[in-house]
Amino acid sequence: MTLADAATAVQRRDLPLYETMLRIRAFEETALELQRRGEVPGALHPATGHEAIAAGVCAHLGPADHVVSYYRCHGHALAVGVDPAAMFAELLGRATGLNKGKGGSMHLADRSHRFLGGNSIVGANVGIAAGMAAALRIRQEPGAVVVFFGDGAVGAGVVLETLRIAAHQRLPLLFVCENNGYQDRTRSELVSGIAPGAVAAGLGVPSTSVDGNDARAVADAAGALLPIVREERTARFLDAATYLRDFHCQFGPEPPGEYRPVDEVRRWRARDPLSRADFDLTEPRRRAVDEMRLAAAHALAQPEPSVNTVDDDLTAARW
Amino acid sequence: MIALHAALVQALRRDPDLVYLCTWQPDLFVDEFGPERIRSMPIAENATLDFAVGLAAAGLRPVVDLARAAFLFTAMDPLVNQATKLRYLTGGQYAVPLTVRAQTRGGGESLGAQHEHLPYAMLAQVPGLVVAVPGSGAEAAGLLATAMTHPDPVVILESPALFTDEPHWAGGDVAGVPFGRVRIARRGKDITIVAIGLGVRHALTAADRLAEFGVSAMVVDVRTVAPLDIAGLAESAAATGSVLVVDEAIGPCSVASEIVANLATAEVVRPRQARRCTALPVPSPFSPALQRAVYPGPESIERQALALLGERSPA
Repeated sequence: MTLADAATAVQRRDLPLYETMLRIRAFEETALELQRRGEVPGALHPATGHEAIAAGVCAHLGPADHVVSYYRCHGHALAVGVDPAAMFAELLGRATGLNKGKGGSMHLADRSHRFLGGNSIVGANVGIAAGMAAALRIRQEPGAVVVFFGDGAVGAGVVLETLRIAAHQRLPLLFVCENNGYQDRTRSELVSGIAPGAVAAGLGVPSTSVDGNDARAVADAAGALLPIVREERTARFLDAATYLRDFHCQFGPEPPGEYRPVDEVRRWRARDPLSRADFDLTEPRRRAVDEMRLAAAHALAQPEPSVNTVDDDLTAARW
Repeated sequence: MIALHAALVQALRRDPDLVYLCTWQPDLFVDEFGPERIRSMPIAENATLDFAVGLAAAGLRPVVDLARAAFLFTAMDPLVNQATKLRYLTGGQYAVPLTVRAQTRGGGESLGAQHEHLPYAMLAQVPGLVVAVPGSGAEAAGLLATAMTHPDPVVILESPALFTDEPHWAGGDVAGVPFGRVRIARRGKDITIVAIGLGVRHALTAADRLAEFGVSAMVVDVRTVAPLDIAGLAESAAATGSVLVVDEAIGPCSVASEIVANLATAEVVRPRQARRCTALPVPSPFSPALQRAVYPGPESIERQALALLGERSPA
């Protein structure tokens, strides 16, 4: 094997990561297009810019692992294998949506993929993930729970409480902080002087920092941490620095204003997770765009839920 | 061992998925079931209830001993936004079979306004949540037994007074008490006293005194305020034609109001023949003398029942 061949082989190893990232990007761009056309009720929190974290971490999931997400959940759902047509149908509030049109963009869940999914209360998902990790311990089952959240969640009391519990109870839980520097429109620096990883370490959960826009770096970090979490039954924290391309929350037909400094946006855009490939992505990109357009078209053709289903799934009990 | 503990031990033995979360572990339970299942949690109600939601979503059956109902306010998000919403939000994919036990007030404890709360009307506003308010120690055990097999979240709000003279559990299975079905605690034909929680005990005492006046009072234990047994209440009310609803929570926007509204709408009693006997709308006072002025007791129930019967239209 020549040196050039070896280099190509190393790059090829990363192709699946790029394919996942491209699918997330294509899903989100299609979703935003649908929203601008007035097809999507409610808000979208696109994961554009965060793709490397979802792809890198989920590349190391095993069959016994669970994933818990937050309101920016589309990328995680795709990375664990959820069907994009059912996701689009959910975004559109259709009967055949992933959650029967009851959850929407912020609450995508797919139990068949062990994906508890999104949560629109900042930090609440982290406490729930700890309970799921405790269930693995109590049942003496293998596997780990991976919970994704933003840096804003680290200000929520429930997350601070949960870090302490996870450390003390030795829960098989990987905390993944998508640290994009903002909580809603507020720069995290303005409201906290402590990095999320330092907070975690201070409460007993060792933290690893990683460039969250480098899929290979994230995959290597997750690949090192997850076996520790699973086998040693102990919590770990991954503090992944990243940035949003489409800012925070897209609501209504008009794009929201850009509140971030122009230079900062330009600097991060130059570090887009998808611009780092040393190999040609033309074909995988085309495939991803085609797949998502087809999925969206399928979802648009789906019926709205029957009003008879409005009180289904409220409780299993019949009084 | 009291009936409530017997119900717990029985369920822990029967169901290996049952996990008990508390801030104070009863040695009795830890010795038999171990610290993984009888799980000590820090004083962190918000994370503890969220943790319980996660256990339940993963298929286990957590019972959280939250000590005081007052601490529910620290943990409202996991209860209201998570536990009761996951089934709905996920289109039925995830269930949260969670039981929360919490104490209200009434044991002569004088713990003050931040510890003594009766939040069942607030909780009854949460769709998908069962809210049980037992009227005796045995009922608390029976409702807990049912909660521990129920597919969805249940909150049991217990007055500590119910356990003060609870007899020793004689053994045998603790039978489950059905949700959404009232219990006739005492039969009578002149007036129906509908009571919630510790109010049931007060109503029974009042009924004894009313009997000395020749008044035969029926006492109905509501058991669960959500679901509310409208049909059972209507039947009991129709049997006497007069209803006094005893509720230790404050009157405005109360479960008592809901019951009176339902009975009046169903036309089983005339509007003037349905009254509420509720607490004054103030926080729980510290002084026992002030508490007696705030909460309904046997005397006020007796007085209001006689007033209501005195106003009854001649037959």
